[in-house]
Amino acid sequence: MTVTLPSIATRRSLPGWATFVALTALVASPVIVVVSSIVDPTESMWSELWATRLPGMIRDTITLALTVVGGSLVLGTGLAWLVTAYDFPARRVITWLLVTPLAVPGYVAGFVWLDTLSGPLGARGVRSIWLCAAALVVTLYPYVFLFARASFKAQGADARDAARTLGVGPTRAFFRVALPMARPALAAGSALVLMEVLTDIGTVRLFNVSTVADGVMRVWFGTGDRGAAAELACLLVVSAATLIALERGLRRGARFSTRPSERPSSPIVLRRGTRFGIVGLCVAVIAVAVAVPIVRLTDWALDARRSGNAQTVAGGVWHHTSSSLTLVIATCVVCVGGGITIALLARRRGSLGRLLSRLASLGYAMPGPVVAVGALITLAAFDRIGLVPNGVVLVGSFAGLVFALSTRFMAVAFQGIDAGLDRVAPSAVASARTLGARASRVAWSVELPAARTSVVAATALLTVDLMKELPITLLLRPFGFDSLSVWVWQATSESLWEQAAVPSLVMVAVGMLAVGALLAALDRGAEVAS
Amino acid sequence: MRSPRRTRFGFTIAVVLAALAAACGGDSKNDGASVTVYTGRHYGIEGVFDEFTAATGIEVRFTTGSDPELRERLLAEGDNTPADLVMTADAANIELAAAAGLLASVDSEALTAAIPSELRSADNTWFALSRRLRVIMYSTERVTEPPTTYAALGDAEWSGRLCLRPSTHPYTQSLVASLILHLGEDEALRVVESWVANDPLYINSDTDILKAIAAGDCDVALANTYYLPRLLAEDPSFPVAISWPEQDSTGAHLNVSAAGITTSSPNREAAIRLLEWLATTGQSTFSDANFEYPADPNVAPASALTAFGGFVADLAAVRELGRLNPRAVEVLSAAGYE
Amino acid sequence: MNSPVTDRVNDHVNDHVALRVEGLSKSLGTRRIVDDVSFTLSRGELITLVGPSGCGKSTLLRMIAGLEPNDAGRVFVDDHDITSTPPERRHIGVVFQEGSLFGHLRVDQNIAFGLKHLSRSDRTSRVEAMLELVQLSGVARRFPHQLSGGEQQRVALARALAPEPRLMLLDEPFASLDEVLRDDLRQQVAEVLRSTHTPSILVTHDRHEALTLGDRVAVMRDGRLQQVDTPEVVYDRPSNRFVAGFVGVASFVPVADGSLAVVRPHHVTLTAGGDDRVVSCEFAGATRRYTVRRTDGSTVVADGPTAGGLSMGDACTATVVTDRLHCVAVDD
Repeated sequence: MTVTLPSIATRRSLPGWATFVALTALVASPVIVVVSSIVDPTESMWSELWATRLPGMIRDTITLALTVVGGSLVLGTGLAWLVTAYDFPARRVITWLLVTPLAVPGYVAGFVWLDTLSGPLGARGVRSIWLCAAALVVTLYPYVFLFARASFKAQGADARDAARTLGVGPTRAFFRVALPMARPALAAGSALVLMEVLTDIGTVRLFNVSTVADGVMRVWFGTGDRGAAAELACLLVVSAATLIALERGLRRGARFSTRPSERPSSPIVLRRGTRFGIVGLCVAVIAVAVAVPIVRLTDWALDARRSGNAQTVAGGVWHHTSSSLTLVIATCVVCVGGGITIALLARRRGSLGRLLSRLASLGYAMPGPVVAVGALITLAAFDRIGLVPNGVVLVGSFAGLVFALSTRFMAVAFQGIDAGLDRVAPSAVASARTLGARASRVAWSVELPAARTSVVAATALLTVDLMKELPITLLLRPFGFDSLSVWVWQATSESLWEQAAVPSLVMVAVGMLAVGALLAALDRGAEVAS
Repeated sequence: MRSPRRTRFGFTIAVVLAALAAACGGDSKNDGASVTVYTGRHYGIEGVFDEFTAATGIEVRFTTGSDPELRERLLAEGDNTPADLVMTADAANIELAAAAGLLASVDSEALTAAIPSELRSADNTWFALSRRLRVIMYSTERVTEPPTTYAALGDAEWSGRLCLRPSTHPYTQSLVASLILHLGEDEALRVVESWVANDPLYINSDTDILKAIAAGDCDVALANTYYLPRLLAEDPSFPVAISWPEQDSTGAHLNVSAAGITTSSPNREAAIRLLEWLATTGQSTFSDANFEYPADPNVAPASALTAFGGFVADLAAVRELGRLNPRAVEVLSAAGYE
Repeated sequence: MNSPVTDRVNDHVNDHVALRVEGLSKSLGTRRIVDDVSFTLSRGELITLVGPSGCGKSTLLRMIAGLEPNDAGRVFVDDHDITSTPPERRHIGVVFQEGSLFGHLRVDQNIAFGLKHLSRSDRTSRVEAMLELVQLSGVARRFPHQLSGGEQQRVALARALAPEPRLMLLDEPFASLDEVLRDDLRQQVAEVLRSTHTPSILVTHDRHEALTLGDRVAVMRDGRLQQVDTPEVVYDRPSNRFVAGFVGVASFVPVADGSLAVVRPHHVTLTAGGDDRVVSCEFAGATRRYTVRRTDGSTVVADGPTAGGLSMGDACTATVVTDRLHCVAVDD
């Protein structure tokens, strides 16, 4: 359901264009800086890589990406179908819990799983690409779940009812109607999973899986060759972009939902046995994806308390939590503000605007450490030309850190808000203009209020992502500024898992609350739309 | 009902933006009696700095990170860097920083007297502060005759019984660099290939490697010495012991924690005082916090280390580890080491 | 075309009833959405089900289709009790209001959706026949969103008819179309349904549609069927005041026995001069429609000629031709 704005006479105003281009360029600058180091390709590095690791890296990356995206699709779509099509006890709570794995950072889930599984499987057996994929699936499937659920809800009952009156039972109706109609949503969810897998470093390293992203780090930090690392990173981005474009192309002329359904699908009430079956299945997934990590972490936290070295690595929980929260709030404000501005400016500037706005999303398709160094170089360049007067230095300042984080996570805000603005009726915008409102007033009084729930949802998703963020914060944080994720890193880099437990638990708790807010916002958004 | 909510939203944005602006202006360069440290070696470092501050009144602020990332940060900041002192957990990384022109030479009698010449750069841009030895660890339950050379880990006897740290880690790279120095590149490659032929289990954490030995996942491994006392403190009967390698030849592979003063150090005087303090008065505190051996041979190591006995260390290689690092990475890659 | 209905007539020679509904009820909380509804639908018959929005007509339809569980009552198709049969086994075709086409499938794929049991060649020829029936042969390979609203509904009709259902249910299929398109399509749909002899129920809230299309008209209010009869009877002899007002313009004049006489505009003759007053008048093409307040306090609606007619406020005399009047009870 893409609604393009009618071309209401918008003057191609120079200040508007300037703001738009400047903002996108600023957000894209870290990636541009990294990419520009490719100017002279390092051939020797490539031939060396081809001869040794690169084929294996590519093979493992493809295997991992396929398995994780496939697994997430099956798990995410299946669960989304169960919670939308059927009614069973505690459905809302179960739905929320099914999304909460998002709150568990990959590097935490990774070490929890590695440790949990190395008991029965042994240290050697546990380090396999398949278990790595499984660990990634149980942390990443909620992306597909969220999108699929929204799509199933928006489809309503009409198409599925029609299918049933045409002699197709409920199960086959799912495969022949609901599933194909949800394809754009499933593609969007899979794209996020794909990005996460391609840019993951923490989890794959724990399981000894050597992916291209891991290769970027090897080349960069092993040999200090930034150019070659950048080339590899671009290989990642380009292949991800190609895959996503390919899927869009394959959809051709088919449009998947003509309009939101009049009749929301009323969940099917099931017989007792089936009901317990479904609840059991959901609970099993929750147990694996959420309960196991939380129980293990709690266990470690108690261990650390018993052995009395809980405070060795870091100070109080509150210091770190407040640091994390301050950072999350500030970055959310910047990202949401920037996302709104870019989205509004872009949709008044036609297809070129859309293309440029994509630039602002690049940071999300790169491994975190790459963006971190890109942002570092950008900020240092600003410092050198004295962008901020009075000897204030951006690198290592709170503002610099927020900027760096925003360049990576702007995409999350932008995409969410842009989708929300898509739902604003073009006629509402048109009538506001005919009532004499200027573009800026239309934005403030018509478009934004209508996209309000998208803003809330984007903020919640940002909160979840930012709580977990590590590489950028680690490299660019101010002195004495220690977030929860930095605490976890300090402990785990010394293999002191027990001491990482408390900050991990706090991160998970905050993330779970944000996930709840996200779900509520999405559901409210769906109501507004229909 | 809508409009007050919107106003409140606007108000919230304004407040947060104001707070941001305030935070922006808050971080200008510090002056006065303070030192800024970038450190890739972070275990127990806070206590060491506290002790220094208590003794001298000089404040220490520091940020932790991985060695290569901190080097990138220094490179990017250039003259603007607030860092006075750079500290790494590995000799190659401090040498790479020096080679990039990030470190300034220090002329200090206290330092040259305390730190043996093999453990500091020729131009005195960096100084080792503690010795870290990468040795052979073995299971006391299943191994009676542990290997005594690095090359012996490639013996068929250890097939499927060997644990190693992945090649991404500087400890592995530095060890292979020392092999290249002593054996030549071809022979070093052969040794690494023989390890790989033993189908080693790669674990990216020395602590976990030692735990893997205890759990029976492997019988011999390479690890740094200081991880063992930590585990022995928790469990005195932890079934892993050290086999000092190369005692009849080059000595056990020696790596160092090292530090140097940055070229653009804003507080050079105070930074030199900190460096000197770490190399002299603070040697024990600095080394013992992590069960490392002091860089100054005249300072006694922590009592927990006496049980490991005396050993010969490979002093000759320390200053070459940085130069040979790229070749070590190539050898590891060519050998198919994970 | 071979109608399945005629085949089944041979199976049950004595039975001309296609659908029988007995005491169908459904409540939502304490509200009775459908309240004890019973009626029959004969073979080849088209019943229009009409009533104000929210009167339960769509729910009734969905219960017949099996899409909505019922609280009480039974549904028989061809004398088989299908009350607990799931919708996919009822062989009842449904055309929804709009947007029920499968957006990911082309027009021909949409129509072929319910024909999985046929061979490939049978399916193709069946799809072609259906497209021809609804006069859309040219758009077979388009996607639904590339069609106009009227075309989409014709595709929906073809799709529902393709598997030769025992009966058809149409839930306000023209509601979202504009007036001109609606008149055309209405005729077309009725013709198609008659030509295939498919017994059908068409739900609408438009009385004009109900009266012109239906063999019989069922009027529903607050979940209850008020009257099921031919359009003429429903119009001329409504069972109560609500039906009278709903199916056409009516004025109600109290009569001696305490009931109300249903006065249609054609029952009233209007002459200039007198004690009655024209309260309003509106242009209606060939005629003018007047509302007249009479001296006894009652108000009647009358039609008069457009040329040289009366204006608002004019004095007039409205004479009601009383001898043919149908009376209803005051209550309801």
